[in-house]
Amino acid sequence: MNVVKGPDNAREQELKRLVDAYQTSLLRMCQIHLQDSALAEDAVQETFLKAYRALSSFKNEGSEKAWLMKIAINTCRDIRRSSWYKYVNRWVSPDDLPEEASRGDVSNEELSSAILKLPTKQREVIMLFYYQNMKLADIAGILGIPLSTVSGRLGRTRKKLKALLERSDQDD
Amino acid sequence: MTEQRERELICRAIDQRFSKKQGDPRLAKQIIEIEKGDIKMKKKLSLAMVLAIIALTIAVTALAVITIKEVGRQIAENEKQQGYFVNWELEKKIKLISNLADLQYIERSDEVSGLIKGSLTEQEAHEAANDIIASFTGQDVDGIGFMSIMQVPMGSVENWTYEEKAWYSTLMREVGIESDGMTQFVQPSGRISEQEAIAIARREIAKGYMVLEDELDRYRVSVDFEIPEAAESGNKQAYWHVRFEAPEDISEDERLFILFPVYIHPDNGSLLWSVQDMLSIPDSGE
Repeated sequence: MNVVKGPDNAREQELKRLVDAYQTSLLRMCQIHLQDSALAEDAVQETFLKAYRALSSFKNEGSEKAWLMKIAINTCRDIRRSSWYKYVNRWVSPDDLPEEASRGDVSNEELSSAILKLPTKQREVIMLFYYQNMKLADIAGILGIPLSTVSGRLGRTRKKLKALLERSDQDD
Repeated sequence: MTEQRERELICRAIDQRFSKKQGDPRLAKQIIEIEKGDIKMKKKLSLAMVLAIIALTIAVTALAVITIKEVGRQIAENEKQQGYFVNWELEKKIKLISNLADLQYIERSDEVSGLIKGSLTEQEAHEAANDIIASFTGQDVDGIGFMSIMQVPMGSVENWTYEEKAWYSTLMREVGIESDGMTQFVQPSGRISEQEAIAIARREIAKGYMVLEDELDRYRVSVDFEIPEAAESGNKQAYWHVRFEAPEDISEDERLFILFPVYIHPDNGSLLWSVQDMLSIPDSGE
């Protein structure tokens, strides 16, 4: 990523590029994190707004993706800490219903449902490692935890999902 | 299974589940406008959030209703044990005032706060509690009981709903203040509606007095649904109790009666006591 310190137009162009590149995957990650479509959209908007404000101070030391993921995860955590979020029972939310399900997609649906039911900490690791294809070291940096903790969480989560992953593999 | 294969399967499962959820093409523009102050950041209200708001509203409302009814039960139980408010133990007086203050029916004045905090002597506390309740009900403290207190938060008993009156009767029965043989208010049931019951009562009274129904237009009408206290022992049938009451400005010569009650069966519309029978009783209605 280029460090943007120029006129507003350059910052705006950079924002558009980031939004085009990461919006959808961030949205899905936030949706899995928060289990609420509307809150996920808020989280993504907030993430890009924070990123836009910080564009000029972003140092090109790590990847822009890791930088955005860190902002998004922290934003989701802030939302989860809000009193309203605690009040709403996510598991009965209509947002939690599968959006597209067909007879042939049972294993995919089971797998995504299993991911949604994981504890938040394990969901974060799974999403960053598998869905965002990030390295363990980057995940440790994003989540602010030791590398060994990331590795341990990933291993435990993988075990939980093993049977479903194998079934999905066989259905292919 | 390889790590890469696991990744493919997980990505596919997630992408499929959320395939309808695509990014908003206007997002970058919106963020720039928010930053420039052209538009305000709008929080979306999810269905889950809307349901939560509704649930909370209902819960808070229900809590308030339940609580004032719990206060009613508290008063009734105290009354059963110790009579009118003035005779209650201090602890019970303070508890009632504290509950009414919590429900914001009584203002937390210095006097109320002092009483609740226990900063008064026992004698002073009794006097303060009596003053507070006398002021709350607008009545002399010696005669303050269940109805005097409950009609402040719930309004005049004449305007209580059928449900509220049924609650009252049930409470009195449960606490043991009233028993069989007293009027029992219950929730309306049966084929005859309230309006139909009024129409039947009006027609029958007019017929009994041999006047046009219009003659009764000036009379005030009130209705209850109850097991009449004058019913035969063991008769648990509830009736519409329709009362026609003469206005105060009607002269003695003009008026047909001061008050005429009619009990109407809620299923068949028949009268528990016919108007003719009631008129045959000496001094009926007066």
